[in-house]
Amino acid sequence: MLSSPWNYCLERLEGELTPQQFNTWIRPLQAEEQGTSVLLLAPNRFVKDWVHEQYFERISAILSENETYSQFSLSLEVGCQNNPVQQEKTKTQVKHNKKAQHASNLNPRFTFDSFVEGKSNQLAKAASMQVAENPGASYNPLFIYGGVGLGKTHLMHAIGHAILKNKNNSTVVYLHSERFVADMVRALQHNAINEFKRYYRSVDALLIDDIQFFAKKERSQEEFFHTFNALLEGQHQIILTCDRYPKEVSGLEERLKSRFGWGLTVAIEPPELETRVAIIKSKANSINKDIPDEVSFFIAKRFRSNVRELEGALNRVIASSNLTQKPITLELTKEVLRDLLLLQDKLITIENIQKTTAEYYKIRITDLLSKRRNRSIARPRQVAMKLSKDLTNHSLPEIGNAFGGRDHTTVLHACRKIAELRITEAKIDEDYNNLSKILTT
Amino acid sequence: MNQPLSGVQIPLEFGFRETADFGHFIEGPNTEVCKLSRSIALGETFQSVYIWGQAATGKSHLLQAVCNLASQADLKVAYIPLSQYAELSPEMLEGLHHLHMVCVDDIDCIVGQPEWEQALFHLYNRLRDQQRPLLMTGAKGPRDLAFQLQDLKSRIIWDLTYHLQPLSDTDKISLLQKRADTRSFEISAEVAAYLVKNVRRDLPSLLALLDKFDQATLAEKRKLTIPFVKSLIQDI
Repeated sequence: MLSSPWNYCLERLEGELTPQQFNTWIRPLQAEEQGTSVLLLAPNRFVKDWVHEQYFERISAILSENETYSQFSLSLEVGCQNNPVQQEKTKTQVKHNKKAQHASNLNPRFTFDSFVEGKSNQLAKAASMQVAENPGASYNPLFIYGGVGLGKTHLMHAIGHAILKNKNNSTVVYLHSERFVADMVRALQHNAINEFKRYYRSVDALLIDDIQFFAKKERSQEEFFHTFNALLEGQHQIILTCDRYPKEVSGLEERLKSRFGWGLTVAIEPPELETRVAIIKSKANSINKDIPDEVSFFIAKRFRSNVRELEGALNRVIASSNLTQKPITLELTKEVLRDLLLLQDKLITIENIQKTTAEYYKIRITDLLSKRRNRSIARPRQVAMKLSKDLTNHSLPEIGNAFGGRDHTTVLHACRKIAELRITEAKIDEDYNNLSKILTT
Repeated sequence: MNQPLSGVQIPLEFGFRETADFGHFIEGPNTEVCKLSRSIALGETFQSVYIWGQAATGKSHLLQAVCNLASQADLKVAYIPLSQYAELSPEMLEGLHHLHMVCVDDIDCIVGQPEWEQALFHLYNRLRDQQRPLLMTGAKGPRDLAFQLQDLKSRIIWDLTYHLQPLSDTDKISLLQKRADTRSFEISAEVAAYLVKNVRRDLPSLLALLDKFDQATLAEKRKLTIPFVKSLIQDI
């Protein structure tokens, strides 16, 4: 680490604070060192205030106690190196000059080519392609709604790409509704609301994702309402997505809801099995991975609610295959996704093990806890003890106690015995595996 | 109040600070997620990850290890322990997308709190837009996270998700020995095995005993033998 006043402070603070305090409050700070001044930049006001209250004095003291740095001045602000908040402050001001510089924010991966079509989304895709062909003319606004992770954002980006491809000097801007709100708030704070208006009203296509986040934000809704009207009047395209039908969004002004319905409203439904399989194959293809059919079907059958869930499962299988250098097989897939497929971490108790084991061997729980030593009882008892040792955190004395007050050496003996028998007797091994599966899945 | 025994020196309570780095992490059956976390910390992988598991399986340790390693690689990182500070505000997550990566511990703590859920969702989106990783942990599997904000849940499911598996008894023995070593006292393999067999084997219980042994060996200036350990356990 290079020697500098801030690095010196870091070393000292790391020794004084708990790792948690250090990682939470000190690590996110960035330092700008110029001459004899050290400016600390906190990512937000909350961190700044906290650091100011809890650590600022100590940091100053660390500097002043050091001969080399004793004359250095220390200050603390909200901001970020290379990407300072001040830059964002003036973003809207810079943007409007002459023809505003619009960042499209489009994700290059989300195109029509990479969108997998099925019954559940074909209407939405057809409408989107029409809008892309004739922006501002066919359906305006285009309102795409549906549950989470079904491809609304993908379609929206695909339209944006197609508009740019057809007419590359178009200005297309995609943003999440939260970003619109944040930009507006910042513009208001910095008296730049006119620039903000000019910026958003001068685009050829405005794509706003998840407009349900406008709910209850009245000032943002009003601003958006005017932007919306201005764009529509100028025949500029508006595309919106939402997690539900516009009329069902509570906290949204009626006049907005009704305007959202002026163009075309299309739904995306959860994909059916064939589409889910096709999505997996397409995704795997896009990253040059070969996925056996049985693996695609296994994932598609088990992860049904949305595309993100499918992709998450596939990502996990691919990551495991890469990290362990094993080929993607059905066996690996089952192993990797086992935890995800479990509804929840089951709480395994000794009582539960006793109950399950008794049911499995068709004996009574009282038999398991009794002193009876004939094999038809003793063997299941030993299996249950071994399962208790393997599947719970109880100590051997605790396990012994739970089995009719037996000594921990009896439990130890049972565990050893079952471990041996699992190798020599297939039936015992099968029983153990079956019970273990019942208890953990 | 407990009276100290005469002749026994009571050591000062220092509040031992564990070193939360990869070197002190026992991987056990969790090699894969450790490998991935290291690679994220070094800026080689940009994947976001959700790691879940029971209490005391090492989730917080792992996230802090990521912070340490990332800092060594000159990457800017923040660690946000949601369960640790009741005074935290959702505003705390603003602006963090300018850092190279963010670690958020115990996300189940904010389930059902709309402002927090939205703040985490927005942080997620902004980091993802910039291909910067977000590492999160929680006690529940991703499908069981009962967020009101479905968009947040679906994004977490989209990520790589790993179940941090509990350590085997053999791993627990190595962990006890390693932890004792960082506190400058010794637990023989025999004593560690005795503990794992005879007391509750979950990590919080075992680590709590370690604190007790640390104090006891200092106070009585004795090595940890099985009879000594037995006497200490009986005191509990």
